Amino acid sequence: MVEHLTREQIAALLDESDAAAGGRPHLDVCAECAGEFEAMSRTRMALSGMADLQAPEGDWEVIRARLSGADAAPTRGAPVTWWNVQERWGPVLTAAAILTLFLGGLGVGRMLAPGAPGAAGEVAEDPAGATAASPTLVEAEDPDYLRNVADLQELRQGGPSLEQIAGDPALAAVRLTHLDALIEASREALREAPADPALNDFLFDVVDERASVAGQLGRTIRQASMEY
Amino acid sequence: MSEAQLIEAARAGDQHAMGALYASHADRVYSVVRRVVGDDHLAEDVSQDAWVRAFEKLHQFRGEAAFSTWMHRLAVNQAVNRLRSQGRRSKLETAPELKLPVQEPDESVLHQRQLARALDALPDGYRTVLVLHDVEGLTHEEIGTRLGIAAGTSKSQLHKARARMRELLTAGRATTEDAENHG
Repeated sequence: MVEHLTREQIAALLDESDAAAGGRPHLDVCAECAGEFEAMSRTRMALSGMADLQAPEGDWEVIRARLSGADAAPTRGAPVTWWNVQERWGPVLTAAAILTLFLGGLGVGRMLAPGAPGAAGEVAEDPAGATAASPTLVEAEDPDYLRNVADLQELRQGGPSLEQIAGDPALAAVRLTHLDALIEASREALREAPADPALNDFLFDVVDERASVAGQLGRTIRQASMEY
Repeated sequence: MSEAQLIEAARAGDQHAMGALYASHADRVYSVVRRVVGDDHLAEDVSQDAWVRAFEKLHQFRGEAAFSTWMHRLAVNQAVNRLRSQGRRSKLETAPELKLPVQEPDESVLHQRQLARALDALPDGYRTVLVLHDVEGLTHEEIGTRLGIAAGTSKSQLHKARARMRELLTAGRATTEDAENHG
């Protein structure tokens, strides 16, 4: 009885370097595997020849609106810190600053934790070690931690509703830039405390809200274009 | 106006120049993003993000590579990062059911649709590598750099992805044939 090649083995034969390694002679004596190889070759050729898709209409208007909204915002990629958030972004983005404090809280937790390995000075000198250790050092009942979680949720929910955004594209564009900064700040915080459940939930919630706001803004602009 | 002049003007904040750059590359960017993320709404959102980010970072574009290459890289990174950030939720989702249209006037269109649907049904990791290698023509070394994985991992993922793609296409064809036989 002929032992057939697996689909993965046949898939590897599509690449010349892998074909040279072996398996190819089997195709000369097995019509079934040869047929499978031919079918995979055709699929690969079809994939390489796939035509470009058309970008959705109205996308440029959304992008332009977002760029206009971002004009007044700090440069993306710049570190989000307590002082520039407070000064330039208003109360909604105070959440980003709390994310920074959140990390500070973790550091405090590390310092206060009885028997914790290392001291505050070591945290500064060994950020990699601090990253690995900090999530386990925060007690769920830590009042600072819990207050930060509550503040984050409260501030995030302080944004405009989808109904408000539907009627005001400029408001939506500004909200998007705010959410972008929150996402960036959350990711920054998660690099320090990747296992923190509150930070993870916060990031997913903000990403969800961002998707909803962007979708609503797109619909509003498309509708306006059609009416025009 | 040449592309270099458009880029220079866009850097200075000229929205017409930005619009012209967008118009020249929008379909290419949307295509790669759409195929990597496997979802229309997400692709729209991610490609918008990619463009916003591109214009914000345009000062970092030094012209060492073509603008299209730079933009392509940025769009792929944006798409991959989004998939990663949504990883926890996408794992909870089941793969979309692969049902193909029963009647299609143009066979080549049908084939394109079959391919597109099978691509969408692949797990994110498989789809990303398959799109980058077999559709976009990147090498395993390039894919490894973009995704932060070893070239060997990219290669083994590709072989698994091709095998899974074949299963999906076979299942899709069976579904169509069944529908035709019973229709």
